[in-house]
Amino acid sequence: MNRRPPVIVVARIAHAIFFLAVSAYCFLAYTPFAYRQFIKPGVVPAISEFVNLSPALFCLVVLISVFTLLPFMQRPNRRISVVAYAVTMAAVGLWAIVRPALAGIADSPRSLLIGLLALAPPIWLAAIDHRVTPAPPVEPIDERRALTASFLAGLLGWATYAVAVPFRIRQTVGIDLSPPAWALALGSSLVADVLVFAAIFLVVQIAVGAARFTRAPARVEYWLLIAALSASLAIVLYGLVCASMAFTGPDAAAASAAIGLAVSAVWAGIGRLRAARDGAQPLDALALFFAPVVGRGVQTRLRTMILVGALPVLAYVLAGAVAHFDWNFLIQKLGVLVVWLLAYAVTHAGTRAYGPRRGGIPVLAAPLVALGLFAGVGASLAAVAPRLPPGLNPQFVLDRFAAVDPSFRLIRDARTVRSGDTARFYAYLKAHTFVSPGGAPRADIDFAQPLTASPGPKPLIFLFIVDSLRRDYVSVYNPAATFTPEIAKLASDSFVFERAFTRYAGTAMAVPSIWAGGMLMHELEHRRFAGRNSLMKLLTADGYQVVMTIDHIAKELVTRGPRLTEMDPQLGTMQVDLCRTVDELAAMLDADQARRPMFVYTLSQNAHIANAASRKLEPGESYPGFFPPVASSIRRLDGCVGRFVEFLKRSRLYDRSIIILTSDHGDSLGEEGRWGHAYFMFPEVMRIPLIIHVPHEMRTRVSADLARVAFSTDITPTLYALLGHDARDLGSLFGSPLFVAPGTDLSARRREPLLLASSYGPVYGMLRQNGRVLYTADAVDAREDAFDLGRSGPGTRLALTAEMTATNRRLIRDQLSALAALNHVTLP
Amino acid sequence: MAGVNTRSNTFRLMCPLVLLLMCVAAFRATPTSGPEGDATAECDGRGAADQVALERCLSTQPDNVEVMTVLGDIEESSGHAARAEALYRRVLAIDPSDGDVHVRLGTLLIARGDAAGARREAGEALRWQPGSPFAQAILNRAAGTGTGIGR
Repeated sequence: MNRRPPVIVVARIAHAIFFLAVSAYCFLAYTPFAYRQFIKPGVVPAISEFVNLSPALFCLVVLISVFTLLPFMQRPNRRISVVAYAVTMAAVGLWAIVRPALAGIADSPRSLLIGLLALAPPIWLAAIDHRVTPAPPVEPIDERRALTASFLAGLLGWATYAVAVPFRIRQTVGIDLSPPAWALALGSSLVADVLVFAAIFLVVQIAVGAARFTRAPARVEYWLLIAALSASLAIVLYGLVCASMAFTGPDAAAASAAIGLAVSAVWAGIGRLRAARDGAQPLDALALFFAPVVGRGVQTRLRTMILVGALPVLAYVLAGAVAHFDWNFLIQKLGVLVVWLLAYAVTHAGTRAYGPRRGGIPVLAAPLVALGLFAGVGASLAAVAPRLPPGLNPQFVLDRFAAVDPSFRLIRDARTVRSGDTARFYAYLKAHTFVSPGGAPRADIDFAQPLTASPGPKPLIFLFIVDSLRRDYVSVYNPAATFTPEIAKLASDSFVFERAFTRYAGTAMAVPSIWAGGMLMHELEHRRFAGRNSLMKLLTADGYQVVMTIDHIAKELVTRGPRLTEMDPQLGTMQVDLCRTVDELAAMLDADQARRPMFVYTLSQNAHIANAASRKLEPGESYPGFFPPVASSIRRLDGCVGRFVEFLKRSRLYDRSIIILTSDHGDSLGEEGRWGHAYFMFPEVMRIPLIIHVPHEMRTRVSADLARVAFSTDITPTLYALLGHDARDLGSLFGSPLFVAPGTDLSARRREPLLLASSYGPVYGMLRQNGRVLYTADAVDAREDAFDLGRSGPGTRLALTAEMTATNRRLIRDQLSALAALNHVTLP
Repeated sequence: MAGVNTRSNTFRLMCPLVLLLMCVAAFRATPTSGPEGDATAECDGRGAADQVALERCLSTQPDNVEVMTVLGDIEESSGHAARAEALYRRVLAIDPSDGDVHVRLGTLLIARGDAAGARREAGEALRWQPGSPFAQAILNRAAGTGTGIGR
């Protein structure tokens, strides 16, 4: 049989990628969290386009695959399997055209079923390839060659990311290590990489050992390696990918196992296609395993060097391409695993062969040395750590290094292990996250009861929330942010709250909490929200006409009716643009001349990284010290704010208006390598700007404490107070008025520990000492951190002590329990 | 011979398996946090009940502004104005935006006749707590126009 043309291999890869993408989309849709936060609001337009094109793509990849199988129709004993595949896929293709499967799926069991079924075609095609393509001759693994390749791969894997560190530092904020610290970090990383590949070599040795019990050890070795690949993929997907999407349990395990099986089947199929050659020399089982990457092996030293040199470039480009859109380094970590696999394949192909079974027990000495080295280095660092200066503390140094080396980050995050108490604490956090909406209705939130219309004329109220707007990208908080002069002008005539925070690190909970005026049970759906919608109750009682953009989150919170006017109804969630909104508002106000009191709400996406990252800068536009696309987006937004304020002044509405400019949460823009906002909680995500302009006659009647911790959940009770209602004190889990009668004691909150939460995972925080200290407990990545927020900037990490950990855990438990009790929810 | 082969094969299987388990154990040996400890008494200055406990808190948390403020209040009410002033100034060195402490310090300064210093503190207090009647009262007293409002 002749060697298969490369185009057939490419066709198989395209076929596999398509069906894996379909399967991944279905599993994402099945997960309530991913469906509501990514798919339903269309955060990633490419996903929507893929769904629309999927019937056509299905037909294309299936047609190509059938075409590649046509030569085998001539052989009777192979014809049946080819025909069965072609007929079945044709029927499915017709069905896909008539009733596109992906278009209507939601978070239902149907999605899981389609996702699992979508993995059948690539497995089937791989099975056909194994049937129609003669197996290449295989001999037992050359153990000495495998050992040499493993250690070289460890070195290559380390070097691949180490060489990129100087480049990645330039893109990362807050990493400042001394030369000895870099040496410590790089050395630790090298030892860890070598241990990882020593462990991989031991897996190969286990396959060798198990195969010895069989009659065809070479073939068994190969299939055990394929099985190990399948199992490893399943574990990685379940532990890394599914966990970060809050997709857990038997369904997640089944999905992970199915994808692992499909990928390893495709891998084996492509390996067979690439390795098959008439009259060729036998390959050892490990060489056959790597055939999908290197075919029958790299022939020349030059080719090896080229591949070795290309690997760091590939790794750097891969990491850079996804950094801004990654989900807490998830895609980068998966990229590391791909690079490691390639490194092992390239080094194995470039290592000379010693002959089958050359090794024996002595080859195990090398992994033993690697283990000893790893344990020895770890023990030495632990022993000297107390005597080292803070800048050389190993934990401090390695945490910083993980920000610029994705492979070390993967290793570091995989190393975490929990004590019994820690495991119980994280289980407690998980139990209080994404709580099922069933059971007793959630408690109503009432800042005033009875709530009747307050006397007197009502001001206009504008609540402008800019999604992901960071505090330090607004000049009134950071003089270096010179691109917000209009907001600075507004701020000069407003109250600027210096220590404003969001209670929630993501929109899904932050926005409902603003409307409620306090913390809520952590759930994906907010059913029967009217009883908790304190803001809407106030607006209804005081006869406000509500004018707002309605995104996929606001849709759950408000009920359409005659008192509600929707702005820009045709826009998707991610398209809400403050500039467009204020233009529409100005036209509306011109027409209405404020006959009725009007409340305006918008959640604009100008600064959201999904939009801002692709913004093109004008020639000459530069923002040193800032992420330019986001800074440019904010500059544009600032101009629109200024334009609207000028309009209000011209219309003599400015001094009849309450204007609130804030954000639902901040964002990571390169701090320690982080980008965006996922389930994590860090200072730059929790700090927000909060600027409130009130009419002059109100200013003279109130006082405020601008340096006391303020929350976005204070906005609603503040409006109660400004409109003349006595807002009750509902406790520290709820907001309180930011403006009070002169002489009112506001100091209590300076002393209280205050609960914070992630919107997208079991991650909670404690804000203490009037917002100077932030403690976070992350049950997804099993990490706890503390930060000194006293100075501006990204916050300084604090060394955790046992007392700090125990105290903050107790506080988090107490407040979560109190929140559950308030809402009549019983949880473990 | 078959038995020897089986024993040999078993040995060849078990050796790398044991080594792999040792590697995994060594790899995963890092705990997520330090040794478990008791949640000790709060040091966040919740009350003035126990000056000794507060002093102990301050020795372990020298930057705890709330503890220093409460200790300053205790010293002031005990007649130790100098120590109170030192504590308030220490607070303001850490957190210059604490309007309550500016008011406290301004009150101390006006009591010992430092009108200029009191005006400065009251000005800072009003910067961070616009509309504060206590800061306004200090300004009035410093200008000789008022008797002030108790804190």
